[in-house]
Amino acid sequence: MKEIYNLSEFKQGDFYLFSNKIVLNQTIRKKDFSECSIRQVNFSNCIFDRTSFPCTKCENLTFESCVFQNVSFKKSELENFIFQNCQLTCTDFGKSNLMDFGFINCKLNDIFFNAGELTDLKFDNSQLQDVWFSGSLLDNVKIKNSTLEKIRFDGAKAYKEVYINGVLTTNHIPIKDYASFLKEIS
Amino acid sequence: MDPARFAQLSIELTKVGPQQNIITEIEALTILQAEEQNLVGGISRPDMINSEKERKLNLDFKISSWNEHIFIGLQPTYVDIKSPLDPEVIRARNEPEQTLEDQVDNLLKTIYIQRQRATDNQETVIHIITLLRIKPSDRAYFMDNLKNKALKQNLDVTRILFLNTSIDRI
Repeated sequence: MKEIYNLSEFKQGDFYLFSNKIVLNQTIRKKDFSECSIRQVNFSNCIFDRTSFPCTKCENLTFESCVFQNVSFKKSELENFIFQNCQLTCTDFGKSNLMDFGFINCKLNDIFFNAGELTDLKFDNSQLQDVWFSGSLLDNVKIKNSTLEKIRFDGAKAYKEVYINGVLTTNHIPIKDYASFLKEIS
Repeated sequence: MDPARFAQLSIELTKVGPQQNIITEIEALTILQAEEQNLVGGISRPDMINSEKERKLNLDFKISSWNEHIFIGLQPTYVDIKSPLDPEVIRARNEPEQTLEDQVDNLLKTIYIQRQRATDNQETVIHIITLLRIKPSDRAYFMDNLKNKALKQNLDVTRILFLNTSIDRI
């Protein structure tokens, strides 16, 4: 059974490992969670505002009906995140390794997935506007049933497995033609 | 160290707003130390708001000068800071175990990717590893371990500098 926790009063150093909790109906504003490890936490109906999670290791997090504005997850290792019915504005996942992410029925605006490694990311039934994947390595990123506006892949590469002379080889292919890449991943 | 410059360099101006946290402060402290030791100069934070290229590279600092006796034949344009942490501190924080060797492996992987990305964009990045947060007795081991693994991976170690080694002046 997960314990309900009040995160809005967090002060740096209160904890570095935050796990098995439920965070409900809270506004988390101007907090610095640098180098924290956050595991198996369900966030519901929360607002994250001007909050940073740099160099964190986060695993198995779910966000339901949450709002993110000016939030940074830079230089982090993030695994198994589910965002459902969330609104993300000005959020930075730059320089991070993201693995197994799902955005379901979300609105994303001004989101940066730059210079990172993105593995198994799925956007479903979402609205993506000004979403940047510049300089990242994408492996199995899927965008389905979603509306897209200003999606950028400058300098991004897609991970592909191809047979060369009968040998299975992994390649990083630069994404040049956005339209055909988007078609391929939808 | 000039507090005004420290304050200025510890803020990263990004499209999601100004970011200042423990990590950006460690970065600023380290780059100012490197400047003080005449390793690099002309330091600024990259313009992550207006420059698409800077966002693509996403490196910590831009530099316009460097010590040519240290970086022989190189023309570095960017610096990225790494700050490994004492495993005992990680343990004390109740965080998942991460040995020094694990941290070396992760650092080398990131360094390789960042160099590749910089090369793709006709830039050169050097890496500064500050050992301030590692026990003095472990620092030589950390450096040796990293250098040995880098050599095995064919990674040029002359583009990696260590600060706050046990023999540094602090």
